[in-house]
Amino acid sequence: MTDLSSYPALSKLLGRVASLWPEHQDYIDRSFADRNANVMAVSERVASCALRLADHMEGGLDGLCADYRFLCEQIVLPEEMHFRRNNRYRLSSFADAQRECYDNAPFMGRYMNGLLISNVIWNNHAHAITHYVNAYLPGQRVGYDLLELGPGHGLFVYFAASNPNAGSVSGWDISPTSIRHTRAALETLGVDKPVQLERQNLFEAPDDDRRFDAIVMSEILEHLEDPVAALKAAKARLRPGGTIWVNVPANSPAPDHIFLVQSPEHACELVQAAGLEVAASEAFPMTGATLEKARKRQLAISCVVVARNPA
Amino acid sequence: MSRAETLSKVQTLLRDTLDDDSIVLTDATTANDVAEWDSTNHVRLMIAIEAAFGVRFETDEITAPKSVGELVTLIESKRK
Repeated sequence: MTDLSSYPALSKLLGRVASLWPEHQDYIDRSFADRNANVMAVSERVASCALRLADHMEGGLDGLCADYRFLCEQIVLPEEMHFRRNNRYRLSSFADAQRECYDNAPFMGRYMNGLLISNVIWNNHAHAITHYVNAYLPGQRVGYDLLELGPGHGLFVYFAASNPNAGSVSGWDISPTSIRHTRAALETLGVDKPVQLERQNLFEAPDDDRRFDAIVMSEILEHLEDPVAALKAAKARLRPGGTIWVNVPANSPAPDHIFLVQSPEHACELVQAAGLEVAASEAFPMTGATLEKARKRQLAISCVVVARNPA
Repeated sequence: MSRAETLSKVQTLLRDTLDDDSIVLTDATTANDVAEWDSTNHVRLMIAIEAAFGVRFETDEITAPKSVGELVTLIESKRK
């Protein structure tokens, strides 16, 4: 079992998950077996956020843990079966995903809560958010202006606004429910700088002069029918030399994933097709798999791409 | 197909799934006894079993067997 004595938030969160779901202990142990100190430090911060958010949830920490189990057993498992049988995601249109998922508020609430915990426990998620906190944000200029598209649980804008170099931090989402969710999360977590949250459709946003040094698209592209079009629209919002941080999972079935990214190379190709220059890319395999085995077995890989606007 | 033959075929499928020819299964073996037999690889195994035995599992049947013996029993029940 992983020694978590130096990580009080992780110790409390993982202890509660394992207490309520003892069969998951082996998975947790495997997921934390090889994490270095940098990843552990970020996971501790994310766990601390999750615990604070849980304090303001109706079901508290136990409800949050139950939602994580619901995500693993009731949401992901059936989709994983479909993906393995058919080699494709079950849905392929945004309208279907909206009907099945986005319009179902109680379902989405549990889904989002489960994903919050996945950022701590799932190895690929934990490494991706560590890359964002430890590599991407520190590389930004002093006074940077950052926009996240689809801020969801709020962790990425929270970390951006907590960074001392931040100038302004914004979040756009098409869903008023999601905006309310993000705003409530940020109020609970508390941020040093205000985060401008707007109901905004990237494709229909007013053609004003707002441009950003950094744009974050974490787990967005797989929800879209035409991810390249979205990347092109994001590129139009970047300053010359500005960068986009893309995190997209390959081979990761979920009820609202409609675009199948097949490999880290595929993720880079999408970004390049939008006219962006890839500056760096990382591939983080799912818990229990090496990158080599994840590629061979078509297992989930979080593909992180940092790309520059050359215009 | 006898129960022993079903067990042997499951063993072959698991070896293929995990790329490990050293795996030896008995009725008492559980996923925790085999390195890499995690939830995702379990789904891969069950889908391979579906194809090899010509059966189809419901979602709740995927995680129901708690041992190889229970898995073999499930397969035999589906083939009747």
